[in-house]
Amino acid sequence: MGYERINFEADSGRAVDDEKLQRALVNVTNRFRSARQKASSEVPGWDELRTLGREIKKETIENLDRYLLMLEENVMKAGGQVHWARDGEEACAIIIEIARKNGVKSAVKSKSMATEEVELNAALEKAGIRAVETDLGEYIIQLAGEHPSHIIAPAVHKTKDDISRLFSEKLGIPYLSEPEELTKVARERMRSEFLSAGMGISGANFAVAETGTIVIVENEGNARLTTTVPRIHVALAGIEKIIPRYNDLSVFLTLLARSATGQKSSTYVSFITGPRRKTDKDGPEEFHLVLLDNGRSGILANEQTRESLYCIRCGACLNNCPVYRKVGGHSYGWVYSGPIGAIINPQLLGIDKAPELPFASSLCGACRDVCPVKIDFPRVLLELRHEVKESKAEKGKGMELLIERLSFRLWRTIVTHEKLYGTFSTLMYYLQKPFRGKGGNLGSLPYPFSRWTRDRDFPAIARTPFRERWKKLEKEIGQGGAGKGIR
Amino acid sequence: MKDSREEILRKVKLGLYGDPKHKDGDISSRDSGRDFAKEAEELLRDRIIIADKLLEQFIKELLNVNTGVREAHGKEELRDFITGLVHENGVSSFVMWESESLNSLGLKELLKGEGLRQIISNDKNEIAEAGIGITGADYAIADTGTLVLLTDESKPRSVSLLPPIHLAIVRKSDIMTDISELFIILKQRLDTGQSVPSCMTFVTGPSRTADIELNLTLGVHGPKELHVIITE
Amino acid sequence: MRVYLFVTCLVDTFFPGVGEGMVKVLDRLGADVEFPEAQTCCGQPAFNSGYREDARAVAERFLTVFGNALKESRDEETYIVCPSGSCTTMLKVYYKELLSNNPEQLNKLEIITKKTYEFSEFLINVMKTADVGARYDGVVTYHDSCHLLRELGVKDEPRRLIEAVRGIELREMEMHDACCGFGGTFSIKFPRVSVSMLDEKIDCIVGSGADTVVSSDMGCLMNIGGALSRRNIPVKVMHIAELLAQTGSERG
Repeated sequence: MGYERINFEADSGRAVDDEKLQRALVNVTNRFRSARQKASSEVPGWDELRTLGREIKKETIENLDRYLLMLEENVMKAGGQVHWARDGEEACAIIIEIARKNGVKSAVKSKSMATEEVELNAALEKAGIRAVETDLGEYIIQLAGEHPSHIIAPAVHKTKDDISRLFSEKLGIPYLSEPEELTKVARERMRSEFLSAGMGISGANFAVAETGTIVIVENEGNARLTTTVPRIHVALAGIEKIIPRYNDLSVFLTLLARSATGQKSSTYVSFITGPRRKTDKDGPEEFHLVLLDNGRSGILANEQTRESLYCIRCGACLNNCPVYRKVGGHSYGWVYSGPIGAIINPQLLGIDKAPELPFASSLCGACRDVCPVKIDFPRVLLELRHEVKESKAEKGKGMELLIERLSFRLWRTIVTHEKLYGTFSTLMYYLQKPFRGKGGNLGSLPYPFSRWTRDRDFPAIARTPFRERWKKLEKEIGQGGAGKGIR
Repeated sequence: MKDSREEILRKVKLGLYGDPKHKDGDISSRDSGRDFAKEAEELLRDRIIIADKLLEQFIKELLNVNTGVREAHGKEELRDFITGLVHENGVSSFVMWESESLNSLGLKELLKGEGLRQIISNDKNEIAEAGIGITGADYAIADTGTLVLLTDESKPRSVSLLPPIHLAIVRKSDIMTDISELFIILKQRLDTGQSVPSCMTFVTGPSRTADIELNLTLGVHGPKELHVIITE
Repeated sequence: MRVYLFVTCLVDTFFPGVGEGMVKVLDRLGADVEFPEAQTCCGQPAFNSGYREDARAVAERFLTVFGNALKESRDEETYIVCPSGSCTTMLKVYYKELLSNNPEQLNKLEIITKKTYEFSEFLINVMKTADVGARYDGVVTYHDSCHLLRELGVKDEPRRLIEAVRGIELREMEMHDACCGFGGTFSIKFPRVSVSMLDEKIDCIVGSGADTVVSSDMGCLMNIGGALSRRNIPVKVMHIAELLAQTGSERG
C-alpha cells in the first residue's frame, strides 16, 4: 500500500465529483475552522503569540545543528538512546532492529505523521512484526488499507456508515450504527493489544533540546498507553521538531491545540524524558528516539523555503484552504496534504516527484492567516513554482511544457512593446468573433482555454480597449469635464 | 549508524552555513540573544486571573470538558463525595497514588471500609481491572481546566490512565492561572537542580475522540469519566 | 493632486468600463487623472507560473514607464492608482522578490511602491472620501478578493465606499472572504477544482439575495461573471469603480 504516484489533477478531479467526500469535507473544515476561530480570538495577543512562535522556530531551525546535539546529549543523560536516520528506509531498519533485539512480535502505534512518511507499518509487517494503529482514526484507516486524508483527523473522508461496514466486515461483528458502540469495540480490541504489545511506537509533537523531553499531544489516551504500557518505547521525530527550551512549550502548546481542534488544551499532553526511573512503578524500561532527516536537511539548504520546517502540524492550513476543502487529503498524493503538503511534499520527495503541487493553490493566502507560526505559504509556493520551471521536474510533459514556455516568451515580447500589444489585442478582437455567444461572451474556446469555457463563459475582448477610450475621456475630464452635472 | 549521525549533522551544517565543517561551539553570530521565555511570559501574563476568580475559572473550564467537579469544604464532605461517587458507579476496586498528600486524607481506609478492594500490584493487567484510579494533582491550570501530574515512585502513570474512571483530588493552592505560570515554576525546579520527571502528563477532561464524522465520543482509550474534587 | 492610472491589462483589454469608472470617480473628486499610454501588464501571470525571467522583463519595463510618469509630474501629491488588489500586490509585495538581485531596480521600486494604491484604499485613505457622490438602486453583495484582503489588508475600505452610495443596500454573503477559485492560471491548470470552488461562491452570492455582486478585482469577477452568465443567473457583476461611477441616471 505504498504511495505510488502523485497525480493531483486526476485525483482532485475525482474528488470534486465524490458527493460523499464533499459532504465530509464541508463538515470537517467548517467545524475545525469555526472552532479555531473562536479559540484563537479568546487569547489576547494571539497574533503576537504567532509571531513569537515563528521567531522561536526560526532561531531553532537556524541553529539546528547545535540543538540536535543538545537534544541528543540530554536524551542520553535521561537514560534514553538516540538513533539517527538519513531516510525512511534507515528509520524503519533501526526500529525493526530494536524490535528484533528484544524479541518483539507486536507493536502498538500512536498517531504519527513521521511513521506514515517512512511507511513504517509496511516495513514492520515485512519483518514479521505486527503493528497496530491505535488512534481510532488511524485504526479505521489501517483496517481499510488506506492512507490518512487529514493531518489531525485521518479518517475524515469516511462516513459513519463506511466505518460501521468496515468494522463488521474486518472484525467479524454485527453492523453497529452508533459511534459510541463502534468506539467501544475499538477500545476493547485495542486494550488487549496494548497489554500484550512488546513495543510502543509514537511520533513526537515537540522535542525539547534543553531537557531531552519529547512531547506528545492527543485526545484519546492511546499515545499515553503506547508510551506507558509496553516495555519499550520508540519515538520517531523529524529533526525539525526541536524546541530549544522547556518554557517555549507554553507558547507552542497554546498555539497548537487552539489552531488544530480549537480546544484550549488537548485532552492529554505527555512530556516524556527518558525511560522509567529506577524507582518508578511503571513506564517503559527502554526509550529510543529516532531522529529522521529524510530530506529535511535539503529544505534547510534552501533559504527561500526553509520556513517550511517551522510547521507544527496543526492542520489549520488544511481546514482553511478552499482547495483542500474541495479536493481532500488524498489528492495531494502523499502523507501531507493541504497547503503544507503542497509545499513540503515536493521538497521532501524531490521536486520532480510532485511538480504539480506548488501549483495546486489559488494563492489566496487563507493558510498564512491561520498558521500558528506564520509560514508565508504563497511566497513559498511561488518560490517552488519557479524551481519547478527552472528544473527538469516537468520533463515528462514534453510538448505541453514547450508550448507553455513559448507562450510566455511570446507574451513577454508583446507586453514589453506597447505597439505590438495594441496590435495584438486588435488582432485577437477579430479572431475571437467565431467564438462569441450569448451576451457577447465567449462560450467555447480552443485548448487550453477550453479548460475555462467548459463550465464558464469567457469575456470577450472589448472593441475599444481602454487605451483607445482614454483618448476621448482625456478631452472630457478636467474642470468638471466628465463629472459635469453629477454633483 | 554512527555514519548517519555524522552525515545528517554535516548536511545540516552545509545547509545552514554552506560549510559542513562548521565548528560545533560557534554560536556567537547566530543567536539573537532574545529571552523568548520572558517575552512569552509577558505576552501571556495579561491573562493572570485574580485569586478568587481562579477557582471559579478552573471549575468552569472543567465543566466545559465533560468533567465532574465538586468543591469539598472539610474532610467530611470529601469523604461523602468519594463514597457517593464509587457507589453511584458500582465500583468495587480501586488503585491509588501513594503520595503523602493523598495518604494523609485517609482515603484508603475509607474506601476499604466501604467494601472496596485496593489493588496494590504494579502489574498493568491488574491495574486495568480497577474500577477507579485515584490521584492527586501536582498542579492545576485554571485557564484550560488542566490537571498536571508528575510521575515519581509514589505516583505511577497508569493510575490516571488504565481504569475507566479517574478521580483527582486537587488542592486549591496548587491551581495556577495558565500554562505560562506553570512553566515558570517548572523552570525554577529545573534551575534549582531538580530533575525533570520521566513523565509529566496534562489531563484536560476524559479521553475523547471525534474520529467518526466528528461525533464526540468519550472514553475511547483512557478513562471515560474524569472527576475532580477540590480541597482547601 | 495627480493620479496616474495603472488600469491593468485585463481592464484595458476586456473591461475598459472599469477604467472609465475610475476616471469618472477620480475626476469627480477633483484629481488630475493621467494615463501613461505605454503601460501594459505588471508581469503577474508569468511570475505566478514560475517564469521569473519573463516576469522580470515585464516588471522592469513597468518600473520604467511609471518611473518616468512620476518624474514628469510637478505635483507634490502624485499617485499611481490601480483597480486591482492582485496587480497592486504584485507591485507592492512581489516585485521585491522578483527584483531582489538588482539594487538599481529596487531603488526605482521603492519610489513607485510608496506612491501606489489600490483604488478603494486610495479613495478612503488618501482622498479621505467615502461618499463619492454615487447613486445605485440595488442590493449588492461584496466579494473580498484574496490579494486585496490578505496581502494588502484592505477589508473595510470598499465596504465603506459601498455603504455611502445612495439608494444601495449592502448584504454580506456567507464566506465573503473565501476564494472564488480564480487564482490566475490555476483556473486553467485545475479547472475542475477551480469550478468546484466557484460553485460554492455562486451559491453564497445567490444566497445573499443581492442583485449585484461587487468586487475589487476583475480576475475574480470574470470568473464569477463567467459562471453567472453560463448558468443564466440574473445577478449583475460590477467592479467597485463601475459602481461608484453610477449616478442613477444610467438606466434612463
